[in-house]
Amino acid sequence: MSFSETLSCLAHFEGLPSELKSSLEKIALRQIFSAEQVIYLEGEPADTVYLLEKGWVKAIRLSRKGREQAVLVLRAVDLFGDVAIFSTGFYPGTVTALEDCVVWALPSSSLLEKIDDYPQLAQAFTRHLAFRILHHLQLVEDLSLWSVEARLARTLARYAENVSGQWIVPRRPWATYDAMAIRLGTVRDVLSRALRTLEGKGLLKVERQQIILLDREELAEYED
Amino acid sequence: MNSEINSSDKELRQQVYQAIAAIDQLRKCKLRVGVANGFVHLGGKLSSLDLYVQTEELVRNLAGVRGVINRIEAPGAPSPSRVIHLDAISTTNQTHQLIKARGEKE
Repeated sequence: MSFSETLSCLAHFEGLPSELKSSLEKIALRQIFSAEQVIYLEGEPADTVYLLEKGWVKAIRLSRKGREQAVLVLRAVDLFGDVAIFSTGFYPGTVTALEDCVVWALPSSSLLEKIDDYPQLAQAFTRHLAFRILHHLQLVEDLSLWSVEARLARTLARYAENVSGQWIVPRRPWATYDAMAIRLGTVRDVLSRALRTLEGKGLLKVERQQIILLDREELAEYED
Repeated sequence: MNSEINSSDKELRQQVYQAIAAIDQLRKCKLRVGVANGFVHLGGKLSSLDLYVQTEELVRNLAGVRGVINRIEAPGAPSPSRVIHLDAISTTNQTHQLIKARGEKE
C-alpha cells in the first residue's frame, strides 16, 4: 500500500485533503521491523511518529517500581508515537513489533510544521488522541475496579471476532500466557487460573489456536 | 514542554551516552538509550553476547541508575520484546544467567 492509501484506512485521517496527504507522503519513510524488534524505547527522545501499515505492535511501560504493564496492543492500520510529540517530547513507553511489521515513519519536526499549516491535520490528531484517552480510561477502570477474572472476561468479550456465528478470540503466535498476563496487569499463573475458572463456569472454551466464547454477553458484563 | 520528564533523567541519558562513547567497540554501534524514572532502556544491535553483557554492566554501574532494561539485539541474547519485571524477587533480567553461562563456558 502507498502511504496515502494507508493513511486513508485510518479513522479521522481518511478525509484529509489529497494535497496534504501527498505532502505527508514526501516526508514519510517506509520501514520494516521483524517480530520482537524494538521500534522505540521508553524515555527516548520522540523524533518520529509511526503509521502502522501491516502487523501488530505492543506498547509497554515500566512502573516506578520496575514492573512492566502493557498499555496498548495495536493492529494495522493505526498511529503511534504521537502522544509524545504533543506532550513531553519523550516516548512514554516502549513499542515492540509482535510480528513482522511495515510502518511509515514521519519525522516529528516536519509533522508539527504540517500541523501548523493544516488545521484539518490538527483536528484529525485531536480526534485520534481523544479516542486514545478513552482507551486509557477503560484500562484504568479495568485495572482499578475489576479482578483479574473480570478483566480477562471483559477483554476477551471486547476483542472477540464473530466467525460463522461463533465468537472467538484467535490465539496469535505472540499471544503467550506471559504476554496476555502483562496486558491484564497480572502474572501467568493467575491468568491461567482465571481462564480455568471461566472455562469451569461454561463461559468459554480454551483451544490450542483460539478461545471460543460460549456466552459473550455474560463475559462482557462479568463481575465476581 | 517537558514537565513530566525529570531533569535527572536527562542528565542520566547524557551520562549513558558518554559512557558508551568512551568504549571503542560501542562508539560506532549507534545504541539507543531511553531513560525514565532512573531506569535506563537500551536498544540497538551489537555483534556479540559479550558486548551485550558488557554494555549492560557498564550502564548498571553508573551513579543514579535504578535498573537497566536491556533490549539490545545480539547473537544469543534474549528477545528484545521479552517481559521484564525489575521488581521480581529473582529478577527476570536474564543477563545474570548469561553472565553465569559465559563464566561456565570459560
